[in-house]
Amino acid sequence: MRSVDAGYLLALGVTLVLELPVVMLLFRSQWKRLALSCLVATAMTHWLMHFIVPLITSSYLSYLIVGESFATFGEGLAYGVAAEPTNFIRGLMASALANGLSYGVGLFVSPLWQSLYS
Amino acid sequence: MRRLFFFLAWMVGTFANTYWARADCDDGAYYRLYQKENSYTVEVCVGTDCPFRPVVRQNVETDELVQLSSFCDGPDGCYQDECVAPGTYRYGLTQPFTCDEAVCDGEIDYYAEITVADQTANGVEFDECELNPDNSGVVHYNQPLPWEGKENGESCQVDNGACSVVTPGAMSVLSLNGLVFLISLLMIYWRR
Repeated sequence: MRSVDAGYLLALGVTLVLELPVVMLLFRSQWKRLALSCLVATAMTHWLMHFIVPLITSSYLSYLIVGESFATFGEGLAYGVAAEPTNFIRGLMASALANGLSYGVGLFVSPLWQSLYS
Repeated sequence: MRRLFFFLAWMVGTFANTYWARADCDDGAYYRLYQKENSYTVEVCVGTDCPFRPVVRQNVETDELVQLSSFCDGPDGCYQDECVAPGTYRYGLTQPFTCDEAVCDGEIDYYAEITVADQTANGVEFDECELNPDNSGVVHYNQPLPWEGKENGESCQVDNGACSVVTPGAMSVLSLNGLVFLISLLMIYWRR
């Protein structure tokens, strides 16, 4: 069973470090508002992805697809609502870019971290 | 806005290039086994999040087979096989990795082997080992092993076209995000 440990917090921290600048860059004129939105939305989807989605999916592939789709569209919705005026398309664009980037970096970092940790 | 567009396109291109250029076999389809210091715990990392597919442990000397519980720990969620008696073991997935000869040179391991060392000299007695309360322990496994009668490292037969358990999911995730990003970008430009 997973738990909130140093590894989870590190993963969340790395995710935020990667995703925050992307969202702020794409909403430069209101970066403070969107940075806050990114913090809250990413923390929520990250938690759901790690603790809830594994319980409702039966394979790793479905876990990935369901979880990452939820993260992309959920965060996109949050950014769209937080933007002034509301802008779902730009919110989705920011979310897709941020999530793609953090997931891709995770693919590279994970084996490295694994070998260092062990 | 034009500069931002080129910057983003550059980022996406660079990222896509580095992703598809990486060696999938090294990053995804592997077994890494470690005996944790001063313990009888074997950490079994299979290149993806844990729990994933069932993992089996085979005692090389007695041929005893057990299936590990879904007890995972560590930053990458490796399987934790606790209270393993000193001896030599093989660990492998009950459903082996699939592979693509073009990417993996036709070699994917069925299992990895480890010798669990006696820790008595370090003051850690095996008899006193206790499972973590969240660990339900191993259960007897009586199905045929994927590596029975085969050489390790020769499991590669082109079937599903993927050498790594990470690849199909990773491709889906990256494709999803890439598609959403591109459609959004096009819509923004189209509306201008």
